[in-house]
Amino acid sequence: MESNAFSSQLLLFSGIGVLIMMALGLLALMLSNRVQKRLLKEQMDKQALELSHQEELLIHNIKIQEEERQRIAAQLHDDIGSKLGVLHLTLHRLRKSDHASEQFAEVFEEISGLIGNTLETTRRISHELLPPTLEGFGLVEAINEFCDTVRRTGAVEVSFEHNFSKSDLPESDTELHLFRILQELLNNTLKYAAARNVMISLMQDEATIKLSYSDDGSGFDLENTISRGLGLRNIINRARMIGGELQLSSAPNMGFQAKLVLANKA
Amino acid sequence: MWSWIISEFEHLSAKLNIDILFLTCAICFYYWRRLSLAFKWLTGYLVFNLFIEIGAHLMSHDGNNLPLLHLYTLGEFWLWSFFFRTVLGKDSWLWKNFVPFTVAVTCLVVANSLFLQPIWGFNSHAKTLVQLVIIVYALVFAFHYTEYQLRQSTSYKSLRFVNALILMYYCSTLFIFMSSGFWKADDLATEILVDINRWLNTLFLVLVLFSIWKVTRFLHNSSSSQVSVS
Repeated sequence: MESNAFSSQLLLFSGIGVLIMMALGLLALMLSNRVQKRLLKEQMDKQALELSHQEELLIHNIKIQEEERQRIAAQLHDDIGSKLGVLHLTLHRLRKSDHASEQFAEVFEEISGLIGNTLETTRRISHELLPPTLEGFGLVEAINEFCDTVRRTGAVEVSFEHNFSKSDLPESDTELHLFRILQELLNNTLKYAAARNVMISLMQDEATIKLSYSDDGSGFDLENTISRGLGLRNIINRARMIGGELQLSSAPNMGFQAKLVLANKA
Repeated sequence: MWSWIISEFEHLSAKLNIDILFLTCAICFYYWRRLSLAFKWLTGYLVFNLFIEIGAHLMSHDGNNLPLLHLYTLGEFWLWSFFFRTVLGKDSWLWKNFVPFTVAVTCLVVANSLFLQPIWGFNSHAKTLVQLVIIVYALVFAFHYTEYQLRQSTSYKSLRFVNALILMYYCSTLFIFMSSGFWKADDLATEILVDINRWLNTLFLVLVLFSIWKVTRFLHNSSSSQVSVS
């Protein structure tokens, strides 16, 4: 009887003691969790600040890059291109003149060919830097022209569908960014994907403009590629610059898909 | 009545602990290659625990199995030290002073068994010391700052859970071993305290099994993955 009472008391005493110790352990865990959360929040705030600073820098870089492209394209076209044109004409006049000796005919021919080639190269570089079709005829025509160029290489089948008319194209800045995004995507496909087909669609409704891009190539690990490569980050930043919502998806052997949705301000 | 309850429970919990440990070790060995180093040390502790439990079960028929408690105290200290050395990382005090610290504590535990509490008796001093050390390890890990990316992983969440279990279990058993000093002359009291410790140990092992199951289930499901960002 006495032994039972003692056992009960001891059990009670031990139970309370164990519970108190467990409560102390739990208290320490809760405290550590609070400290961890606070430190984590501080670290995340710092990281977010760094990230936004980096993004600002990248966006600034893209702007500068575009301005430089425009400036170089204009100088190539207006200055060097026109001077080469004048040089070509002058050479032609010189060749036709009475003073031109027959013995230099071959040299004239060679120089004329060189000037012609240089003019062509200058025009090509200038167009690559800033497609005149984009300025003159708008985004749809520029995409069509770009798709034709890619088709001609025979590397990949490109299909492009849209429901745009010339009158309802987006703002010129937006057009340029959309074009650059598409250029980057298609170049990536040509360089890395070993794809057979590329599908591009540019659709609009009253509220949104949707640019969809997909290829049936080898696909890749998206997370790793975004953190390593500048190309995809440029695409993401351009999408941000025009206020678009971008979704990228890919996995090895699953091809690549991109979808950009932006508000239709037209 | 109490003696009957105690003897029944001893019989049941000893078998139950062996079963749980056996199951946990089997799961760990099945996923051994894909387990992180910390979980490999945890498996080491569980295997050691399993052998001690089996030994204790076999020796209990012949009488005194307390020498195993002395051995267990030492093994428990070493294996948890390796476990926390791994989870705390290279910058930790434990990593930098691992050998002198563990050797010093080992010397104290061995000296206790040689000079203060012989191996045929209860080693409450050494056990209390080791429990205090393990509680400190667990507290250090609980307050150890971890990067967000790492915190999100299933393996890390399970490690935190195991750490919480270690802290709670050792805090409560610390009380048992400290209070056993008061009742050392009373056999019934000692037996009751040992049994409470067994209940806690069983609960601890069940929860460790749960955390191992969570990790291995994640390892099983993560054999193929697809990544997408938006």
